[in-house]
Amino acid sequence: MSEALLSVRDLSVAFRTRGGTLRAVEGVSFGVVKGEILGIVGESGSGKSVTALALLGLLDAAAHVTSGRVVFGGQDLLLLGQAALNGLRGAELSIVFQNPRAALNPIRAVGAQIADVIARHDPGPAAAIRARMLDALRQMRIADPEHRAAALPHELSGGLCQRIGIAMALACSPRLLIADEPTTGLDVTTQAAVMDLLRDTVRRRGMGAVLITHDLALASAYCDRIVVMHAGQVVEDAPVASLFARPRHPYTAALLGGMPSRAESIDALVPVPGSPPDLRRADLPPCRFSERCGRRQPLCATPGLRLGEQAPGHRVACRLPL
Amino acid sequence: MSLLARRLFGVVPTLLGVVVVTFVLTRLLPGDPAAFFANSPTADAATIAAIRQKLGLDLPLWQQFLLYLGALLRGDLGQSIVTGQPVAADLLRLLPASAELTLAAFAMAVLVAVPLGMAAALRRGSLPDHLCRLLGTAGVSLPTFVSGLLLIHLFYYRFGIAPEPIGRIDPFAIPPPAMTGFFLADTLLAGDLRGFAAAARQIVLPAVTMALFAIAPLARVTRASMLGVLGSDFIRAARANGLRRRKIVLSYALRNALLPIVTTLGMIFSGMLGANVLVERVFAWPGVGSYALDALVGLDYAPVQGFVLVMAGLFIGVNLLVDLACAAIDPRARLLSDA
Amino acid sequence: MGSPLNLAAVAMLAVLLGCAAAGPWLVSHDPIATNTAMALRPPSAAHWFGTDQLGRDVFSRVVAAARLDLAIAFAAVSLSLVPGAVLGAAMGYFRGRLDAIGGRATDVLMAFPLFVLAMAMVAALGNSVSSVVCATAVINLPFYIRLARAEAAIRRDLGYIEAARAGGSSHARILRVFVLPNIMPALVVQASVNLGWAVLNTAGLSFIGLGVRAPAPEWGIMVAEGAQFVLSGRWWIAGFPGLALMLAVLCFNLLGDALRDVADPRARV
Repeated sequence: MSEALLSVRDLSVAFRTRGGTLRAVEGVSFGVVKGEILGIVGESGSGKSVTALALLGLLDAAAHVTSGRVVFGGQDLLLLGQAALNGLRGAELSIVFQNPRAALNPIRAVGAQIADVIARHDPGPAAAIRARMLDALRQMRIADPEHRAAALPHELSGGLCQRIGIAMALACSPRLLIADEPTTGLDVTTQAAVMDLLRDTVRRRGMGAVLITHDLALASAYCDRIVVMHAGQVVEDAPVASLFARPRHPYTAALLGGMPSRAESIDALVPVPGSPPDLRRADLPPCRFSERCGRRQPLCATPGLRLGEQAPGHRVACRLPL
Repeated sequence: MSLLARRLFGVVPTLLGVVVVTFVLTRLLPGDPAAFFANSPTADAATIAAIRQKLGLDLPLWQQFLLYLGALLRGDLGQSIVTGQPVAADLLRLLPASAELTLAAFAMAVLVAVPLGMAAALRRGSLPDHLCRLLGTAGVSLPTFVSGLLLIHLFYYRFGIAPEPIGRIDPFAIPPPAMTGFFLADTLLAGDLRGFAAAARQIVLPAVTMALFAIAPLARVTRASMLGVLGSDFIRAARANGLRRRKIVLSYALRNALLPIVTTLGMIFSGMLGANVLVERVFAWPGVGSYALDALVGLDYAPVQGFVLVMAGLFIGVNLLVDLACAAIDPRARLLSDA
Repeated sequence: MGSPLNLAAVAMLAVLLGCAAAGPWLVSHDPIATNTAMALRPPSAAHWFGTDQLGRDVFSRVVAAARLDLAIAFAAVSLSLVPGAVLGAAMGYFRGRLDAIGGRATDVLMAFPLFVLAMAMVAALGNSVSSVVCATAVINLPFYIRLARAEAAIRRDLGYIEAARAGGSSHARILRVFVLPNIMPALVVQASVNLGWAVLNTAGLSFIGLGVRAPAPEWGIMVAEGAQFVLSGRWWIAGFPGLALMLAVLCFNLLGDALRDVADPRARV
């Protein structure tokens, strides 16, 4: 068994809204080991992005973590002070956001933005920082880095912007990279190029990565293991081969059953009948999928639902697994 | 450089329009200018006709306009009846007083409003936020001539810490040797610290009065603009990369929020040029606004026209500066307007 | 809409309109009757806001002034709202030459510091109340033109307007039925804010002796007359009309904010 890099235990996040408390993430647990790419898959609103933001302490003011532990590098990130956490972000663990152009400062040269991150975490002479910045661009296979570094985000294509974003995230050699829908909005060819680059870098550097996506096909192509989320809960956590060979959770099964041979997104298809429950409800059932589930039994309403191991490394949160 | 040339060129039609409007207003002004120049309202018809001819008032309107334009290009704004001086010379002599007041107020407004708006945006629901919102609505409702009188009542009459609100300097003091025309600068250049303090005491109340009305819209725009930028993806990305808060706020957020702020500065400057007239009246400040008002009361219209033209010219100049500043701040704005 | 601040603004508007409508019957003294024996008295039970240099009752004058100030403001705003909306909507809808010329004219108007332009216009048109109304209308005009133009330009290519055009509706009808009603909410918000500006502008002009003439009760004139007495501590002559002026402007600004929230909830800051 390889070394655990990140371990999330029983993480819950709630939002204060006008309609009451919205329990966006409930009892989420998963782990990432070195050299592994973990996929977190779910519909929009399933809590996958909120989970990522919670790990990094980037939730907005209306949200707060109500329980859980996030152990990274031997310390609990949720207990860390802002300053210490800020020192880790971008240096030890990085995130790449969707909509790459919006994630870049629109009026600062992209090279300078990467240099800002390097100078923050590894201060040094300007020339050395510039050399490292150009090297970070080169590693993302960006041609003519001297020239590109002087460009502003709006002068670059979306694919190039995402490479810049990844270069920035990887510039200080973090041990863990979180990629939140990194290829949304990119065309299919660019998407593959960006994802190949991401995978190769993670493998070469022996780091860990979390790929958050609503695209099951993409996750299956690039991840080692997949965590399926539904309405803020983890429903299944399994190696890719095992998950695709035999999904144990009715929700995963429905997703896979509806998946066409061509790569398509879950959101575009909505293969699963019904919709997730309103997360502001006070009477949410222990299994938040139960109200959409054809196999529902009275047993499903009893509290204490947990992820249970059904096969080696294959865990599922269901009373009546397939 | 070509950007500057292009902007300068773009100003020409507006400038021409301003001249046309001023010319039209001139022709509408009551009273026959010739009658004034005849020195006596009872001058006989022949004298008046002779003066009309001399002034070109018997020519067709378009020829009069060309003459007017020609005179403007020579820097000739006509003659003031009240002072007996060329209007251009009068305005030039009085402009430093108004400019000093306006710039002092402008600096005060920016130094208070921008940090206040930023603090309000950074900590929503905090004391600066409430202050900013209160000021934003109450401040724009405060007429400058009322707030000026209020300040005089409080600081001159009630607390006795402000000097008598008449002019730039104690009436018995000798003005500093004129170099810049700004008393604050001239006293310092002459090494006269006591004179500087006296000039500063005189300018504080009128400058605060003018600044008060400028702070409200500026703080409001700063707050809204900062809030918009702070909520954007790239700020979250900058935080995710661990950049320090100081860097994020001052370099990433503020520079992006600056565009609407700078545009508002231009509008505020326009408001200040108008408020000048009122504030100079309240504080007996000997600037171009007081000059124009005295002329208006004396039915002496050449100074009024000159004043309006100079104010519009100044404002066009400020808008040009705002444009250039926007282009310097945001490379995308430069690109857009060049297209 | 139900916030205490908004309710206060509505209540203030009601008081202002009440004063404007029934002012002369509400007050205890004739607003222009002089009584030199009673000059320069501080506020008392008989004269709530004191008396001025001619012994006139300041309270009666402040209340009576609401009529003139509000009448000028409402007249000026309607005079600029209607032509501004029609012209702006036509510019945004038709584009082309009309738009180019109108846009240039708006730029020229906006190139003047607005109060200075108003001053010059009143001087040129003659020192009267109608000149003040005209000048205030003209300096507000560009705002309506720009707003209506922008709103109409956004809407001209929307489906329902194209459908109406394809269905054979005339341009005039499309403007009247589809464009103008839809840009009204934005214009009403602007009008509320502009009412405040118009009151400020009117009072500012009469403060420097343009427009309304003494002895008519008007807030700006009253502040101007009281200004000289502030130096000797008789603050009430200028203070109360100044306060009334401020509250009137504040009221219109608050209403503008409230209306903006209703018209466009997303723009709430």
